[in-house]
Amino acid sequence: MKRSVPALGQDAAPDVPVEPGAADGVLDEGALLTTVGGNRRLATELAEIFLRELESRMPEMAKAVVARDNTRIQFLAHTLMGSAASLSATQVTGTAKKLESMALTGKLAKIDAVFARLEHEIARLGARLTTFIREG
Amino acid sequence: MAVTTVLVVDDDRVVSHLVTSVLREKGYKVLTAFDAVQGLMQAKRQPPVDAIVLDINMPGGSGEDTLKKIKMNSNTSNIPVIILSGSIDAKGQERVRVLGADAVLSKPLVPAELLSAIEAAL
Repeated sequence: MKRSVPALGQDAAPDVPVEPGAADGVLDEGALLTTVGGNRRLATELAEIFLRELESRMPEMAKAVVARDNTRIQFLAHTLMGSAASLSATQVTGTAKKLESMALTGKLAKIDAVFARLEHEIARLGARLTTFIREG
Repeated sequence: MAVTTVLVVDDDRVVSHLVTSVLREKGYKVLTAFDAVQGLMQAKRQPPVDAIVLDINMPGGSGEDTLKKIKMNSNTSNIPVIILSGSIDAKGQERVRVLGADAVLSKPLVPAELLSAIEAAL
């Protein structure tokens, strides 16, 4: 089944078709398992920690975006980028990097749209990680 | 045989857990700190740790400041430091090496690279 995600700079407009699986960039389970040397229990622990951290990180980032607090956005986006990259979650890594870059350069014209996209991608990643954990 | 102790300083709980697990699996004793202030306190403990894995971007002071303080303190200056970074350019790498970093590793972390860097630094 094909799914859609909004393109950068567009508010949750589902118009970019992507294929499911590793190639969709949501979560590359194979790459994650390679990172942890095939240790599925460790991969599951990382997924659980990531989801737990998101509970505070995303509301914090939302507040920082509303307040246009560049320093906080940059810091939170950078940390999210590192976590997501460790899980081989390419989409979230890329969008967090984009947010970090916007905050660093002060070019915030499209930041609400980029953050909306991040929220959408996080929701998809969260669903995939929950399934991954359940299947553990 | 004495156990080698590594201090992991990273505010990112996912990366910290990954690094800690990889090192413990290989028999290292691991201490953790989640910000620069905690990290510096742990670095100064006695007996000293054998190596430090340090994130470059943290609350409570940047990794560079932390590295500088570690290398300027006579009690900690000889401890090898491996820098972890999500985004560090060539100039940044050069800067932390001048400050005394033994190795600079990029995130996402590759466990084999981390283990090699620590073994080389010890």
